[in-house]
Amino acid sequence: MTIGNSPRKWASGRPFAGFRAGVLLGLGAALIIHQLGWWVLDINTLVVLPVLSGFLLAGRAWLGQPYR
Amino acid sequence: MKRALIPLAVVTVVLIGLVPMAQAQEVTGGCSATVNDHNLDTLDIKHPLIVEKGDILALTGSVPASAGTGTIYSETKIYVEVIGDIPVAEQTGDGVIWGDWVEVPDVLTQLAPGVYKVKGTAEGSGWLCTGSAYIKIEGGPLTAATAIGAVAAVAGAAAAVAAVKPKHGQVFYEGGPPGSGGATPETPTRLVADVVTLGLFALLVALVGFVGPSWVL
Repeated sequence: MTIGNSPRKWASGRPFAGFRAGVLLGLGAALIIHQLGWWVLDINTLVVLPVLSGFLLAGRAWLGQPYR
Repeated sequence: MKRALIPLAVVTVVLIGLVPMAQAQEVTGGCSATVNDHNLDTLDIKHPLIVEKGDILALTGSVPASAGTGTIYSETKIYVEVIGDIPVAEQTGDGVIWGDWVEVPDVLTQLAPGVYKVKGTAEGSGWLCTGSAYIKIEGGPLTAATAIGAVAAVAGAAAAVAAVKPKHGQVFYEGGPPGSGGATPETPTRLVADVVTLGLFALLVALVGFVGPSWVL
């Protein structure tokens, strides 16, 4: 019998899928912001941003979904 | 957790405010240069030179005083920065001041419409100048690049949401797999995690895109 709130558990998602999604999101954001004239397309916006974005969303996917 | 979002938002806004500072451009080495009567210093990212295919550009330049007197030869090379530098034009000149009419090179009009950084070097015997300016290649209000970017961003966001969900059948909790009645998803907690991720993404965009030239590479 459980009394009070049960402990929160995180169920991991798929980090590699998260990485791919982050790269895609980063590239899309880079293109849109370039079209808005806010920045130029260079190695920072076309390579560094998508890769770091990939790692960020891979981390989020690894963290996963909370359950209680 | 919610309190952590406030400094995150403040830092993001401050970094976005740094845009004009991070994207400043200049001419170094004592030279001067103009294009269509605009000093390169004035062609920043917010006020780029608008170019279209077939445009004729009036270029002028002067060598630094340190170049001396007599016959002075100079060689100017111009690049557009994308991933690496793409050569656009080469110009040789003689004399303290030079000028020329140049048609917009085809390589520029083959790029997607938008703002680009153009860099140049001018050198002669014992002197070197560098300069940069921003140009805007005209396109329509809705370009193919905009559409591709929007599709990629939406697809990426949807895939990111899907990637967070646990694998089918994964046993993650002693009560049983998701949906078995052993545990229930905590939507508010997930929302906080998603908002924090979104804030970090915005921070990443600000850091890499706007402060990046001095921060990353």
